[in-house]
Amino acid sequence: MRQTLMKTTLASAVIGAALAVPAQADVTVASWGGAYTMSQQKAYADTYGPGGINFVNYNGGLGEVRAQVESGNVTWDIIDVLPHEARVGCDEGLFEELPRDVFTPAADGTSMDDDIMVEVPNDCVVPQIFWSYVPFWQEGAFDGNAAGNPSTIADFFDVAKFPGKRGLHTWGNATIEMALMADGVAPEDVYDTLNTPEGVDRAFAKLDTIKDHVVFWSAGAEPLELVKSGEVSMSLAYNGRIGAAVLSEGAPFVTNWDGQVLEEEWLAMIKGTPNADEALKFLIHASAPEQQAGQAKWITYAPMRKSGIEIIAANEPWFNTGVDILPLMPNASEALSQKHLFADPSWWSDNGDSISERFTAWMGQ
Amino acid sequence: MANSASSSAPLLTADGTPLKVGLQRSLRRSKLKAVGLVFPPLLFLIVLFIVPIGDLLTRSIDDTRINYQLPLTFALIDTWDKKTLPDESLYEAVFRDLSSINKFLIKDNFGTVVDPKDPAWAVSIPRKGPYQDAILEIAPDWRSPANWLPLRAVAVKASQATGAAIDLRKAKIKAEFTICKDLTPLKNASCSNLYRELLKWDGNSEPAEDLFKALFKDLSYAAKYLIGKSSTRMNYEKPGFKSLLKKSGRKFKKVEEGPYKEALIKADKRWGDIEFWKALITMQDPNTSVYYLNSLDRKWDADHEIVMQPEERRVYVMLWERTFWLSLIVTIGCLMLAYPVAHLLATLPLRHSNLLMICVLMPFWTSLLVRIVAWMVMLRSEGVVNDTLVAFGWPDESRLQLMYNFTGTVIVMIQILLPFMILPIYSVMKTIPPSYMRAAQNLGAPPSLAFLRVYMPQTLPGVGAGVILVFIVAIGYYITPELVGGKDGRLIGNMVAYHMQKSLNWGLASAMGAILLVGILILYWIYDKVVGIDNMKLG
Repeated sequence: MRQTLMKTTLASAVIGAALAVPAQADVTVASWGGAYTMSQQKAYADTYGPGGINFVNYNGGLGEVRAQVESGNVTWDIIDVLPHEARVGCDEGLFEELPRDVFTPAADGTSMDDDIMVEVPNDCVVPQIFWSYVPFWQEGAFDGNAAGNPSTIADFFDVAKFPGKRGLHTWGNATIEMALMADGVAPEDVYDTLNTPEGVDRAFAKLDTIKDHVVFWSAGAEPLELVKSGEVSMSLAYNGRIGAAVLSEGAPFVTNWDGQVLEEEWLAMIKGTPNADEALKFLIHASAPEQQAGQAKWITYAPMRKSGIEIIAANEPWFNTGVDILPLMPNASEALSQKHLFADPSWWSDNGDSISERFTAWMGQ
Repeated sequence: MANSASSSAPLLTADGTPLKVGLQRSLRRSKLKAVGLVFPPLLFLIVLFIVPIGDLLTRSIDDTRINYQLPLTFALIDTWDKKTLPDESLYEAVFRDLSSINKFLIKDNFGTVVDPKDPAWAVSIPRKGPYQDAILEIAPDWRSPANWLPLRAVAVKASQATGAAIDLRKAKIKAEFTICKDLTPLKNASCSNLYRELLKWDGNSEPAEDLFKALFKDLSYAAKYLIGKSSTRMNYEKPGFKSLLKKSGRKFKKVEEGPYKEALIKADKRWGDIEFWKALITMQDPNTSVYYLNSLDRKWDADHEIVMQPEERRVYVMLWERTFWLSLIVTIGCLMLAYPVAHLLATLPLRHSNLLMICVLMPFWTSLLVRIVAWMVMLRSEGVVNDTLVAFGWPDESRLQLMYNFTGTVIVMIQILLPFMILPIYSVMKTIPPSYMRAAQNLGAPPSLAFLRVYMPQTLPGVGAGVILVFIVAIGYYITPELVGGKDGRLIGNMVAYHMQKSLNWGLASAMGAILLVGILILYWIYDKVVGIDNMKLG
C-alpha cells in the first residue's frame, strides 16, 4: 500500500515536472511586466528569427535568482536587472560571464561596450535601457501661481513658491541626490558630498523642508494618479510612466528634466541555465543598435547605446503612433543639456542598506 | 459467558492463531494504511514547508562563509589591541585572505585547523602556472588519487546520463555545480574545468598538471564569488566594505611582497581606518547573533559588548512596535465590526442571511489589489470621503489625510481581514439556540444582562478564533502596507521583503521571520493559558 502510494506520488511528481518543462529549448526572460515587457516583446522577441522567447514577470531583486541557482533548478534564462543587482549578481556568481566580442558593434565599428553611454560594470551584463527618476506636474496645476510654473529641481523642494503636496517614493534612491542638487550641490559633486556623514545629513535636512507636504508612493502607477487627481501638485516618477501616459492617453503632464537621476537597466544570463547557447544568441540580437532603438517605438525608455539613440534621432517621428519620442527620452541631448546625474550604483552598493534604514526611520518620524 | 472458560487458554481465531496476534496483525495493517494515507501530505509538508523554513532559520545564525574568507585574519585578530591600527602581521593576513585565490579553499577539504605559522599561507601560486607544485605545497593531500576519486565519481555519473540533449546538458551542469559544492562553501560555483579534466583522467594514475590547473581555475572563480558574497556580508557591519573589497581585489594583484601595511593603505586609504578593523572582529564567530541584534537595532562592538546602532539607523524597534499596535488596532476594529454582522447572519431568516453571507464573502472573491485601489479612490484627499465631507461644509483646506499613512493602512486592513473575523464568530453563533436568550429574559434578566451573561460567553470560542486568526495574519501583512502605508504605515513585513528581495540580506530577513514566529507562538501560548486552545472554534 505504502509502496503503491509512494510510486503514485513519485509518478505524479515526475509527470508534473515533465509538464512544467517546455518541450524545446525556449528562452525564458524574467522582466517587469506591463508596457515594459510588451516593448521588449515587440522590439526583441517578435523580431527574433528563431522565436521561442517567453517572458515571465518578476518583482525585482535577486532573491528568486539566488534560490534558483543555489538549488540547481534554473528555470529562467535571462533576467532584466537594475544597476545594483547587475553588480551584485555578477560579483556573487549568480550570472554567467559573457564573451564581449560576440556582440554587434555600432555602424561605425565602435564595439558594444564603448558604445554604451556609461561604463560597463562587468562582463555579465548587456545593455538594456536608461530610465530616470524625474519630477513632473500637470498643466494647469500652477495657474495663477505668483512664481509661475516650476522648472528646476530646486522648485520641487520649494513648497512656499510652488504650493501643493509632493509625491516621493518610499525608498531613498534618487531622492537624496536630488535633495543635494536642489540644495545647490553640483551634480558631479553629489556623491563626494554623500561620502561624508555631513553630506548625508545635509540631504536629509533638505528633505525635512518638504516632509510635511509629502505623500509617499510605492508602485510606479501611483504618482500618475496622485498628480492627475490633484492629490499632489508635483511628484517624482519613472520617466517611462509619464511618457506612456502622455503618448497613449494624451495626459497633460509636463516633465522637468532638471535634476533627473538616470538609472541603468541591464540584461544578464542566469548561471547554470541549460539554454546558455540559445540565450546568448538572443542577447546578441536584443543588444544590437537596431533593436535598442526599436524598443523606443513602444515605450519612452531610452537605449543605452549611443548608436541606438542616433538611429532614433535620424528617423523621427519614431514612436509607433507617429509622434516624436526624443522629447520624452531621458538621455536625448535636450534632457542631458540640463542638470542631471547618472546614479552611482557602487555608492549605493556601499550605502544602500544604511540609507534605506535611515529613510524608513525618517518617513516614520 | 465464553470468556469464563478462556481465562486459562488463549483465545484462538478461526485459523488457529491466537486472537491477540491476529488482532495486532489487523491493527498493524490499518495503521500502515493510515500512515500510507498521511504520507503524501506529510512529505509535502516536510519538503515544501519545514525544510525551507528550517533552512531559512539556520541562515539567521550562520556566519560560516565569512570564516572561509578570512581564516588567517580571524586566527590572528585576537592579538590586536583594538586601540591603534593593527601591525604588519594582521595586514599580511588580510592580504593573503583577500588575494586572488583563497588558500583556505585548497586546504579546507582536508580538515585543516587554521595555523597562522603554516608556511602554506605564504606560498605564491604562479598566475600562469605551473600549478601542481604550488598546490601540493599548500595541501599535499591533493597528491593522492583517492582524494580526487569522489569528485570524479560525480562527473562520471553525470556523463553516463541518458535522455534528450537538454537532459544531458542539465546533468552536466548539475555535476559541475555539485563538484564545486563539495569543494567550497558555495552553492553557485560551477567547476566546469574540473568536470572536463576529471573525465579525461583514468582515476588511477597520479593526478597531473591538467587536473591541478582545472582545480586552480575553478577555485579561483569560487574565490571571486566568495569575495563578492563576503563583501556583501561585511558591508552590513560597516558600509563601505563592499567597494573596499572590490577595489582591493583589483589592486592586490599588483602587490608582490611586503611590507603589506603600507601597500594596503596605499591601495585604499580605508585600510588605515580603525573602524573597518573593528568591524572585522564582530564577524569572527561562525554562529552569529548579529542578525537578531540588528533586527532589534543593536549590534556587537569590537569589545564584544552589545551596543545600540547609530541613531539614524535605528528603525526596527519602531517597526516592531508599530506592527504590534497596528495589528492590535486592526483586530479590535475587526471584532467590533464583525460581532454584530455575525449575529445578524446567525439570526436572520435563511433567505436574508444568504444574501448577507454573499456580501461578506464577495470581497473574498475580489482581487486584493482591486480592493486596495478601490480604497485609494475612496480615501485619498480628493476622494469620495473627503469630497462628501467638504460638500457638507467641512473646510476645503483641511481635508483629512486618510491614505498613505497609518490610518489608511488600518482602514484598509480592517476591511480586508473582516471575513476572517466574521466567519468563525458566525459559525459559533449559529449553534447557540435562541431559546437560551428567551429563557434568560423569561427568568427576569433585562436584554443587556441576558446578552452579557448568557449569549456572549457562548460566543467566546468563535471570538477567540477570530482574534487569533486576524492578529496573526495582520502581524505579517505585507501588500496592503506596501501600497497604502506611505510614510508611517509600513510594517515589519515590508522590511522582511526588502531584505529578501532587494538587499539580499537573507540572514536579517530570516532573523526577523524567526522573531515573528516566536512572537506568534508566545501569543498562542498565552491564548492557551487564558482561554484554552480547546475552546477555539474555527468553524
